[in-house]
Amino acid sequence: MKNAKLIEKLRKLIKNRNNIDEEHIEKLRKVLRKLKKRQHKLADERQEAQNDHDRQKIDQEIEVLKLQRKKGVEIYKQLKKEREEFS
Amino acid sequence: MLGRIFLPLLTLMLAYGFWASTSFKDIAAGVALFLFGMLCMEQGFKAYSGGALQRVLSASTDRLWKSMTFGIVSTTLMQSSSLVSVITISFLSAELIGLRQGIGIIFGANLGTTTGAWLVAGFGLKVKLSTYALPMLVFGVLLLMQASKKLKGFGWILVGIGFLFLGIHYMKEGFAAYSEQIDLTQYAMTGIAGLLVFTLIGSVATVIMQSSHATLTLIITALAVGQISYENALALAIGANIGTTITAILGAIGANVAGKRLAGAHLIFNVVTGLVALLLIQGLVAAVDSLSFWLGIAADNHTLKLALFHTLFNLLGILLMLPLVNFLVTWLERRLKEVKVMRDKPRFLSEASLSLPQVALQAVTKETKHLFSNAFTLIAHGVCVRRSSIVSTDDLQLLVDAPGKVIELDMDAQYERMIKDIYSANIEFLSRAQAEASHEYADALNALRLANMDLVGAIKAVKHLRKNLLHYMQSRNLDIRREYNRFRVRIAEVLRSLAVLRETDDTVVALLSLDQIRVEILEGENRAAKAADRLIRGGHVTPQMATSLINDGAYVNEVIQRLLDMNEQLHRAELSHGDPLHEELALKAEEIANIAKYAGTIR
Repeated sequence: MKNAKLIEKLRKLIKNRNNIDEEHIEKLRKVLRKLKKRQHKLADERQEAQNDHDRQKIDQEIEVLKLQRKKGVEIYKQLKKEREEFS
Repeated sequence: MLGRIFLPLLTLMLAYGFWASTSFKDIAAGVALFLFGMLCMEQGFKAYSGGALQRVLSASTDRLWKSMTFGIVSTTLMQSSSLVSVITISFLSAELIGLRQGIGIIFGANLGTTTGAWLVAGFGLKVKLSTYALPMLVFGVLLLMQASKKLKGFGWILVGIGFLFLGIHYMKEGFAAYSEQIDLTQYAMTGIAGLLVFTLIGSVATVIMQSSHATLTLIITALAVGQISYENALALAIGANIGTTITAILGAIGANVAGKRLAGAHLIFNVVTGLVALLLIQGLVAAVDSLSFWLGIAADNHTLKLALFHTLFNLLGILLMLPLVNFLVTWLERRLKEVKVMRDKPRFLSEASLSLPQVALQAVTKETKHLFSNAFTLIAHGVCVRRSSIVSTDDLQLLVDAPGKVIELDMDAQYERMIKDIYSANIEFLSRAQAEASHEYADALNALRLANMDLVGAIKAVKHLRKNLLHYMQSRNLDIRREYNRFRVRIAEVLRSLAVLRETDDTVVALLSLDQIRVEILEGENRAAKAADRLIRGGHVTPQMATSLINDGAYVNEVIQRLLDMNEQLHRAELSHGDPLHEELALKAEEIANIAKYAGTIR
């Protein structure tokens, strides 16, 4: 009986952990989509930029977004891998 | 409209007056010196507020009879009721005494000034104010150079009185040229007509000469040689009493509403006293004759009898007005109201919202955004960029080359109006909310507290920056002008980015967007530092400009960093508790530095 209770507790813990991971992955996915959308929009704005100063500013922002997305993608892949290992 | 044309019109009139007449120049300079002397004295008295002077004043003026005694004694010693009136207005403006005490001093001063007539009539003493002015200025300036605040304050008072004396002296010198035209012997008149006309002449002469003492001296001298009749001399003395109020009114120009009220009280007292003296002149003349007999004054000694008359009618005025002092105070406070400055108040905080932590958090978040909105305007205008330009798509880089347009702003006053009450309310609310909050809300509430403090820190840094900014953004030195304009543009661009960020609905995305602003900030700092080095090495700016540039660059960095931190804290407060997403994606300091370093080469 004791063992059954212990196993049940362990199952719940894993389920909760998976739920948290699911929530986290979903949030990350949303943020990455928004960052990607923002990056494409900036690329279009760059075409219409009037001067070097504006173009440089847009380039910097694109660079920042690229780095943030790169980190986000790495974390996303790591989380997915962990989730697959647990299931 | 009227305000815009008044100054140019006055300037033109003064310029014409200076060209047309040397006497006019002396008079105008006298008025300017007089008003400047008042400002110096106010400055001086403020150094003593709360200290020994306030205790002396409180002890010597806490009752009406004490105030009157103070007025009598000080006017007798200084031989100028105008000066005592002006000093009293200064005391009142600096809030060292109240209106009731001030009125008591004015009553006493009117009585004290009559001792002058006694001195002139009895002993023929004459006081030349200019004799005292120059030594006062010398000693005053000497004391101004001392480190002690009290000595500096006393120095300001001496300098102020010196300028007052000098001002009165120049006014008298200037008016002396005109006073020769006032030839009283040709205008002797009797009866009521004589009474009214000579009262008017006495008033006008005193207004012109700015001293009832001077007018009385003239009257006594003329009376002594029989150039004017005793009857006309009495009327002139009454007129001089009324005309002397003009000095007090002039003194009230630079004063606050309390000073204006006292000038009003002075005017009312003197006019009422004058009217009563005119109505009861026969009775007063009879009283003077009786008292003269009792005092041993000869019946034909008109000069001393004039002095006695002057004392009697002022005493009568005091006896009449004393019971009405409280009424006068109330009436003046009602008629001359202090202009209340509208202050922005908190909109979202309430006692009820403290009861639920989630509601409390939302309320103080909204209030912090309200504070940010006000601070946005204050910071924008502090660096002389219109808020409307920042929130538009105007190219801010166009501000770099042209001389900056000053936005007139009293930052301290605006801080009091727009920031202080909301900030104070937020901090109080946060303290109370944090005391009750669970761990889940503690981080968010703390973040909001830091956000509020960062906002105020940014405003204070702008205040420091503004001192040199106003000067250098209009400098004829193109290099320094450009650098200071770049300071303005950097702050404006950060404000613009933060305004755009406010519209982002996703808190994590908004926080991540701060990384881009961090890159721009670092790039701006690097560029400014390089520019300062280049300008110094190339000798394009003076060493003084260079140090200002470096110090003010630090203030700019502080403003921007505080604004950034403020926004970060505000967004953090909106994040779910324990959400690590932002931390995972945000760039590290070295990554930001790399992007900033290679600005212009990315692509």
